[in-house]
Amino acid sequence: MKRISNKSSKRGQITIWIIVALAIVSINLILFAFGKVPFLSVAEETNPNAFIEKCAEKAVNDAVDLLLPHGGFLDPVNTVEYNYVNISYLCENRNYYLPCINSHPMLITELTNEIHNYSTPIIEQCFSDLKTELEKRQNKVEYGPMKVDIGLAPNKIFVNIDRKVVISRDGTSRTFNNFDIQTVNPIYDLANVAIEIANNEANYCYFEYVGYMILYPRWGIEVFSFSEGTRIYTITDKNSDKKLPVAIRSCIIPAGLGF
Amino acid sequence: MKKTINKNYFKVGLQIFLLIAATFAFAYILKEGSSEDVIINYNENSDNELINALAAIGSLIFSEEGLVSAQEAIYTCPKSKEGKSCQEYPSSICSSECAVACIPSRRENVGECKPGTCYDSKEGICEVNAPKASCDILGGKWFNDPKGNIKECKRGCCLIGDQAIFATEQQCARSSALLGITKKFRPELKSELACIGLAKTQEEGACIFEKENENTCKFTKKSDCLQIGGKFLTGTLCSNPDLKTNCKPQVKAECVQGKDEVYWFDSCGNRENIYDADKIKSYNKGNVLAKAASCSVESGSSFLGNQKSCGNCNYLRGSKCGKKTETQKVADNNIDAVCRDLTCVDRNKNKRINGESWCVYQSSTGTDGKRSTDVAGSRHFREACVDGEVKIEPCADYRNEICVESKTALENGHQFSSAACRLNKWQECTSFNSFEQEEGGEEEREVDPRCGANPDCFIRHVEIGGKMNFDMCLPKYAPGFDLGTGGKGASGLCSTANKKCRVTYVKPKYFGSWSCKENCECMKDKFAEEMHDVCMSLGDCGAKVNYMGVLTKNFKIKVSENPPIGKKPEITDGYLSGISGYAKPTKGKIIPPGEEYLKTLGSPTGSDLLSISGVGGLIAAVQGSFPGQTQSAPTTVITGGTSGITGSAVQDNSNSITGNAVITGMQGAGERQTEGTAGQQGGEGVPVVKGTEESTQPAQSGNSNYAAAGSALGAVSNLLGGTGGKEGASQDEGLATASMIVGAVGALASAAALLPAFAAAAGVLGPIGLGLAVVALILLLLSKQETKVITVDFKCYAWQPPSGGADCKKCGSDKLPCSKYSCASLGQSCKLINEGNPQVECIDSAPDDAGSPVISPLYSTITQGYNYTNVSANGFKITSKQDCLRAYTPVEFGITTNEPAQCKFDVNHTARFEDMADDFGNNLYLRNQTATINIPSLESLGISGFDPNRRADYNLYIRCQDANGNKNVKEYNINFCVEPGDDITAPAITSRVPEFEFVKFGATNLNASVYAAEPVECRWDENDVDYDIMKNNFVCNTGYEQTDFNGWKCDTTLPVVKNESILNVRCKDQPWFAITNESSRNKNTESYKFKIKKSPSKLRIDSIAPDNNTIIYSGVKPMTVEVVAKTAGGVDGTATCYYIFENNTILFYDTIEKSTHRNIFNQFFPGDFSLPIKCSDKAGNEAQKTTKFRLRIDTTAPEVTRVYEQAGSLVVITNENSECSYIASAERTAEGCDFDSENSSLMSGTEREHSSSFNQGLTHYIKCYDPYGNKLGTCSVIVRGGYT
Repeated sequence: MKRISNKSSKRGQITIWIIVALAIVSINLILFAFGKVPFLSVAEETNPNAFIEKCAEKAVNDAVDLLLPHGGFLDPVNTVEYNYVNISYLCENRNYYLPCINSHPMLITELTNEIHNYSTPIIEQCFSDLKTELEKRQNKVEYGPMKVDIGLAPNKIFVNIDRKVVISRDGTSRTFNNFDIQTVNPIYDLANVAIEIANNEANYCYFEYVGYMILYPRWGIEVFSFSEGTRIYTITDKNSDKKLPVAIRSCIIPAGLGF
Repeated sequence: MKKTINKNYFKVGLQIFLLIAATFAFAYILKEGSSEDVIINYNENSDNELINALAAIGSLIFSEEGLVSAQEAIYTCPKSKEGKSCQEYPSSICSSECAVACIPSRRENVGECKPGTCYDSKEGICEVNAPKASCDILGGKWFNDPKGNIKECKRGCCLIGDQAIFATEQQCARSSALLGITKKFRPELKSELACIGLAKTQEEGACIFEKENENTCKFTKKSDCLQIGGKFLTGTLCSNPDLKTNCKPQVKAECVQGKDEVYWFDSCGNRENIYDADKIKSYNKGNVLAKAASCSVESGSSFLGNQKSCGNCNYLRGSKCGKKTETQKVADNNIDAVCRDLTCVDRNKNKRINGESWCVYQSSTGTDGKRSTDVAGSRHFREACVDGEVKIEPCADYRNEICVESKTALENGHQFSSAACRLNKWQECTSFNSFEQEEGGEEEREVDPRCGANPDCFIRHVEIGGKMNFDMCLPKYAPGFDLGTGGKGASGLCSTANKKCRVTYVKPKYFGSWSCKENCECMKDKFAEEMHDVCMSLGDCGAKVNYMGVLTKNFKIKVSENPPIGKKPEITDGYLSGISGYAKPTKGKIIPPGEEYLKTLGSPTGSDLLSISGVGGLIAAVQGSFPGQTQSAPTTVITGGTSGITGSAVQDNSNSITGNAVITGMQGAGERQTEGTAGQQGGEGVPVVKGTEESTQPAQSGNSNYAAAGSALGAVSNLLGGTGGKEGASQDEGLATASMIVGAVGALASAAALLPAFAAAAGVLGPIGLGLAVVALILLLLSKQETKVITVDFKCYAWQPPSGGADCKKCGSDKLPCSKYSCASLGQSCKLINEGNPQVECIDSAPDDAGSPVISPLYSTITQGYNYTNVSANGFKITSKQDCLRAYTPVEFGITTNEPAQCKFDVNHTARFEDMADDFGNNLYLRNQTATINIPSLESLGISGFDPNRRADYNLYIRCQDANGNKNVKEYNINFCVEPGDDITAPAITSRVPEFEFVKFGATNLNASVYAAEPVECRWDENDVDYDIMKNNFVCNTGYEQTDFNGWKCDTTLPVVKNESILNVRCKDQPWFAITNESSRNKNTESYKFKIKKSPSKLRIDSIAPDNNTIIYSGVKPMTVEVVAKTAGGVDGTATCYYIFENNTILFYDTIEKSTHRNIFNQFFPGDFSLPIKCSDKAGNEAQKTTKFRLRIDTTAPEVTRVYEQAGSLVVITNENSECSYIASAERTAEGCDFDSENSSLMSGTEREHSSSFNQGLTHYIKCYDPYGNKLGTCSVIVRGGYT
C-alpha cells in the first residue's frame, strides 16, 4: 500500500512537472506567437519608460522606412515612377533650360512633420496599450495631454514625449512627465545629402556625385536619367544600407527638338 | 536689180515669216510644257508650321528667358493639379495643368513664386531657388537671392564628436544641442576639404576607467572619455603596459568603419595602430603611431607593393581596408583584412584609379574636319571608378550633353582622367551664321567669330566652286532628334541645308553643241557631297548610320531633267561608305573640356567653385604625391569645375544672348529656302522647270526698248520656268546680244518687229539699207542660242531609322544603357518600354504589321469653301462650289493614313513608291500630310480665250509606306481643275518692310519692301498720282513661284528727307501680260501709304548702376550684383539692351521694350569689372556705354585693435565696422567663449567703437561680427579687471 502510495506520489510529481513544463512551453509559445505585441515585463510595469521608448522608437523607425523609398514622404504627390515606386520631386522645373525650383525648401522640417504625423497616433496607441496592461495589473493610470516633438540630428532621431503619466496602486502613485527617446537613424544625414544635391542642381544644373562619394565614402550615390530629363539620385548610407531616392528635373534641353 | 531686190524681199519675208512662226511655235511649246505647272507648296501650310517650328526652335533654345514656347505667353501656375509648385506653362495649357488660377506672368514676377533662398532658421539649412510661398508656409525665412549668397548660409566647420561637418552655424548649433554637446563651430574654416581634414586630426587616446573592480580601458576621443568619466591619456594605447589595464595588445587586425586602414585591435576590442607585420614597430611601445609614421603600403612605383605586410591603406590613393581575397593576402594567415586595390579596369582593359572618370562614346564623335560624325542613336557616357567598381553615367540623351575629359600626368606616369557630362552648346552654332545686306549692297554671308571660340561649333568652308563658296558655323557634335514625336522640328532644322541651284546650259542654235554656262559646279558630285556634309552636321539629318551601323539615306537630289552634257550629281558610294564607318568610336579620341570658352560666359571657374566637384583634382594631386615626389598640379579641378560651369552656363546663357541672334539666323535660314542661296533665286518646291527657250521674242516687241522686252520675256519664262533675278538676266543673254545687233542697225530694230513696219523701213532705206538689214539678220540668227536651265535641288531631311524592328533587341548589347533615343534609332517600330523600371526593354511594337497604309482625305484640313468629293478607296477630287478651283486662291488639302507613313506623289503615273518624284516636303512617318496648291490662272498657263468651258485638269498620284516598309502598290489619285475666269481685281499690298515707321536718327534712305497678294510690278511717288506716271520703280518678284510666306515682294530704296513723310505706292498685276496684253492688267487706283518717320534724337544710355568704380563688398562668394541701365532718346527712349561679357553679347534679363534694363548677376567672384552695355531701339538707333565696378570679398573677422575703460564703461575699438556682444562671468574658462549673440549682451555702437558697462571683478568675453557675417570661432577679446 505504501509502495502504491509512493508510486502515486511519484506519478503526481511527474504530472506536476509535466504540467509545469507544459505551462512554460505554452507561455513561451504565447510569447513567441505574440512577440510583436508590446510585452509588459515586471520591470516595465514599474518603469513604463522602457515600454514607451521601445514603442516610440519602433514607430519613428517604421515611419522612416516607409517614407524613405518615396523620396521622404509617406504619401508623396508630384512624383515620378522609378523601379515601380513613386518618388517625390525634390527640385523640379517643367520648363526648359532653367534650373530647378526647390519643391521642398524646408525638407528637414517636412521630414520631421512626416515622422511626427505618422508616429504620434502610434505613440498614442503605445500609451493606450500601456494603460491596458497596467490596469490589468490593478494599476490606475491617468494621462495628461500628449505633445510629441521630433528632432533630427546627425545619425539620430530624437523623440521627446511630453505627457504626464500617473500610475497609482494601493494608495501609492508614481508620476512621469517626459519621455526622451533617441534612435540611431541616418535620415537627417541622408536628407542633407539630398539637399546638397538639390542645391547644386538648382545652382549649377549639375551634381558631381562621383566626387562627393570620394569625398564622403559613407555615401553611395547612383544616378538614373530618364529620357525626358528627370534624374533619380539614389543615396545609400553604406553604414545602415538605408536608401533615399530623390527626383530632380533641372535645366532640361528639349528631347531632340520634339515637335 | 529689181529682181534681186524682189528675191531679197522674198528671202527677208521668208525669214520674217519663220521668225514669227517660230514665235508661235515657241509659245506652243511653252504652253504644252506648262500643262503640269501647278505650283504645289508641299506642306505649304506645313512650311508655315516649319517656319513656326524654326522660330520655336530658336526661341525655345535661345529665348532670353528659356520659354517653353516662344509662340505663346508664359503663365505661372502656383500649384498644379499634380502638386507641382510654381511651374511655368504656355498660356494655352496652363489652365488645364493648374489647380488654381494661372497668373499671366513669369515666375519671377509672381510674388508667391518668386525664387529666393529659403532659410530654415531652426535647422540652419539653406535651400536655394525656392518659391517664397513654399518657404513661408513651413515657417522658413525667405531671402530675395535665389543663389544663397546670404550670410545666414555661410558655412564653416562644425565639430560634432569625431565628425566634422561643413555646415552653417545654426545647423551646427541645432545638431550640437540635440546631441547634448557643446557647439564647436569654426567659421574661419571655409573649405570643405579643410574641415574634413580637421575631423581626422582630433586627438585620441586611452580612456581608463574601472569596471568590475578591474582597470579597463576604451580607446576614444577626449570628449567621449570625459562623458563616461574616465581618465584620458592622449596618444596612449589601452594595452600600454604602464596603464596596467586588462587589455592585451595586437590580438587581431581588422577594418574599422569609417576608416581606410587595417588596424590592430587589443583584447578589449580597442583599436590600436595601423597594421604592420613588424609588430614591434607598429606597437610603438604602446603609444599612438601617426599614419604618416606608420609603414607604407606603397613600394616603388607600386601603390600596393607592401600589401602583405602593411595595412596603411590610403583611400585617395586607391586602397582601402577590405576582406582579403585569394590574390590579396597578408603575411599573417589569421588576419582577414587587407588593403584592397580599388582600381578598376575599363572596357578597353585600361587600369583606372579610384575616383578617376573617363568618357565612353557610342560612336565616332566630333568632326573629321569635314562634318560632324556622331551617329543617330548614339550617346555619350561618363564612366567612373568608385571603390573598385566601374559606374556608368549616361550624359543627357539626344547628345544634349557631351562627355568631356581632361588628363593629368601623374608622377608615376599614369594619366589621371577626369570626365564630366556638360551641355552641348550646339544650339549656338546655327545662330552664328548671319545673312546681312548692307544698304544698297549685296547680300553677304558671315560667320560670327564666336563660332571659332565655341568649342561645340566648327566652321565648315563649303567650296563647291564658282559663286558657291561660303562658310557655315555648324555643330561639332550633331544633336540627336526625338524620333518619335513627328519630327517636324527636326525637319525644319535639317532643311536649313536645302539648296536649290539652277544650272544654265547654252548651245548655238544652228552650229555647235551644248556647254554649261552658269552654276556648272552644281552638276558635280561635289555639290551634293558638300551640301550633305552641312546637312548631316546639323543634327540627325541626311544619310547616317545608327549606332549599330545601319545606314538610311534621308536626302534628295532632284534634277529637273537630264543634263544635256555630263551626268546628274549624286552622293557616291565611297562617300556613303565613309559615313558608315562612323558607327565605331574613334579609339583614343576625347573631347577636351573647353573651359576657356565656358568661362567667358560669366560662370565661375573650377577653382572658383572650390567645391566637391573639384575632388578629381584632389585625387589627382594625392595620386601624384608618391613618397618623395612633388604633387602634380591639380589641373583636373578644371574638369570638376567644368561641371559647375556647364550648369551655370546653361542657366546664365539660356536666359540671355543667344536667342535673338539665332532666331534671326534661323529665320534667315528659313527665308533662304525660298530665296535660294549664293545668288540663286527660286521658289521652294517648284516641281517643274521648263526646257529650251528661243531668243526670238524680242522681235515681237516692236520697239527699241529691248531691255524691257528681255525683261518681259524673263518675266514670262520666270512664270513658267521658275527662274528669275540674276538668272533671268543670264538666261536672256542671247536676247541681250540680239539687242546690240539690232541697236547697230538702228531703225531696223523696229522693222524686225512687225512685217508692215519692216516693209516700210525697207522702202525708206533702199537696197543698201536692206542689205545691211539682211546682214544684221544673218548675224542675229548666227548669234542665237538655245538655253536650257536645269534645277538641281538638294534637300536635307530628318534622319529616319530603318524600317521594321528586327534590330530592337540589339539595344544595350554594347553593354551601355539603352535609352528611348537609342532604341528608336534601331528601327521604325522599336519602342522603349518600362523606362526607369527593371523590366526596361526595347521592343518591336508592330511585329505583325504586313498591311500597307490606307489613304483617305484629311477632312480636318481643307480650305474653307472647298470640299473633298468623289471620295473612294482610289482617291478624291477637290472641288469648289463652282467645281473647279479659282485662280490665285491657295487651297490647302491633306491626306491621312491609318498608320504613320511616308508619302510621295507624282504628276505622272509611276510603277513603284520609289519611283515617285515628289514628297510632301518631308520624309517623316506621319498620319497626316498636308499641302497647299497655289492655283495659277489659266492665262498664266497659256490657256487663254473666251471659251467659258475651257479648263485645266490635274491629277496627283500618291503612294505611302509604313514603318515596316509596307507600301501602296496602287496609286491614290487626287484630282482638281482650274476654274476659268479673268482677273479683274486690282492687286492688294498686304504688308511692308520694315513694319516700324521710324527710321534711325540721321538716316538718309531706307531699304524698303512691300508685299502683294499676287505677282505685281510696283511704283512709288511722293505725289499720289496714277500708276503710269509714278516716277520710281520697285524691283519685284514677278515670277508666279517667286513667292515667300508674305506674298510677292517688291524692293526699293526710299529717301528719308523729312521728319515725317508719306510715299505713295501703286502696283499693277499680271506682269506676264506686260507686252502682249497690257490692257488686261489691273492697277491700283488708290495708293498704299508708306509712312516714314525720323527718330527725334540719338539713343542714349543715361545711367548705369553700379558705375564709377564703385566698390561692392560681400561676405560670401559668389556675389550677387544687380546692374541697372536706363535708356532715353531714340524713338521714345525704349530699347533692348545687352551687356558684353568676354565678347559675348548677352541680353539683359529684364528688358522688354522698357527704358530700365535690369540684370542680376549671381555668379560674380571678386575682381574689377568692366561691363560694356549696348542698347538699340526698334528704329536701329544704338548706344553703348561701359560701367566699371569692383567686387571685394570680406571673409575676415573684425579684429579688436584697442580696449580700454572710460568712465566705468568698457570701450572696444575694432578695425572695421562691426557689432560686438559679450557675456560677463566670474569664472575665467576656455568655455567662456562658447556663446552666441542671441544669449549675450550687445555692446553699443555699430561702427568701430563699441562700449558697454564694465565690472572689473568679472571676465568679459567679447565677440565681434562684421556686417558680412564674419566672426571668429572663439572670442575676439577677453577682458578682466583691466587686463586682456
